[in-house]
Amino acid sequence: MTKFDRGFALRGTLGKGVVLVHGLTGAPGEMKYLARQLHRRGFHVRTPQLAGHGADARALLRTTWRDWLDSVQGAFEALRREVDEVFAAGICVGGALGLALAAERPELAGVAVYSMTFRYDGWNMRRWYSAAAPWLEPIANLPLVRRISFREPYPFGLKDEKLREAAQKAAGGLIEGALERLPLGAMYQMHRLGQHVEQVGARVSQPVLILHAREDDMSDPRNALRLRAALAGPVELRLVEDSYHMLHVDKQRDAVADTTALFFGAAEAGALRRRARPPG
Amino acid sequence: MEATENELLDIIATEAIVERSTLRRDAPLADLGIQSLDVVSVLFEIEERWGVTIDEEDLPLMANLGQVLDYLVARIDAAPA
Repeated sequence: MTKFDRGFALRGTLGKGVVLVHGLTGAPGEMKYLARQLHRRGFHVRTPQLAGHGADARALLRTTWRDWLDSVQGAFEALRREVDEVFAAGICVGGALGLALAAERPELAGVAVYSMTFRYDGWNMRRWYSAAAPWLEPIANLPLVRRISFREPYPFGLKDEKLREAAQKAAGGLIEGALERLPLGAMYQMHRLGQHVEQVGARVSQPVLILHAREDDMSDPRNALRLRAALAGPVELRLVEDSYHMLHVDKQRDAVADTTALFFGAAEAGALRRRARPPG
Repeated sequence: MEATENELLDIIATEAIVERSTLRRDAPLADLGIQSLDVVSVLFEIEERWGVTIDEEDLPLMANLGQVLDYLVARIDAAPA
């Protein structure tokens, strides 16, 4: 744990726990809403901060996806001591890490993956990233090149205008501890993690929920289809309307939380909260 | 329409997942572990509970939690019932 560690936990009553995993360059704070909703449904929640995150690009570049997986594993081990059944849910790289954990730990009961990203090929990334990707990817981890970073373009994965405006205007960023720029070396690690998930997918026999925004600005829904094809166990894939990449905080966040809670075995909730609409 | 400071502190503590007892009026939001995303969540909650729409852009100029609380209470209380 570093002085920048912003991981948190909420104690539940169900005997079930969820490791909530933030995305690449993200921070535990982005999982707060989902954590609250799952906690209200009785789940014990642990939201670790991934290794190398929460400080700066230099710290991030000192880590690999295996270090990030260690962070998730640490939270998983802690939850196993606290509850009877443990699940994992994560956004983008966080979801991929949940799957990597599932391949290694059959006692993990299930995984929810939001906005799986093998490649940044969403409608807002094609103009510049996709054009550069073929020559960029092989050299992304070379010295000097790996430090080059890019800023997530507007609308920042957010369809909700209030959130988008806040993201644009907040001096320290929308999420405490999140990095504003993604270094190519970290993106290289994301690609390696994606390859690993495809390689070990045949060992993932646990139920997997895949949620992906039909209009995802950063990763096309084909990423979700590609993931489904790689997994051996039962997969439930739903395309979510009226949201962009940041499914867990965007306009359908209530529906995403509700679908996840039900998938992990929570009792039916009462009336869904504001703006909720079942995805898919 | 009326809102009390205590009600707002409960909402802030819940939405930001911070200990209610750590919320001091003289502390900047960032020092309390309240991020911009939490502020938007608080505003969503206020809109749902009192039907009052407040733009997040009105808030960053405020230096500490006390100023934010005073502003929110005033806006909610000024709204027609």
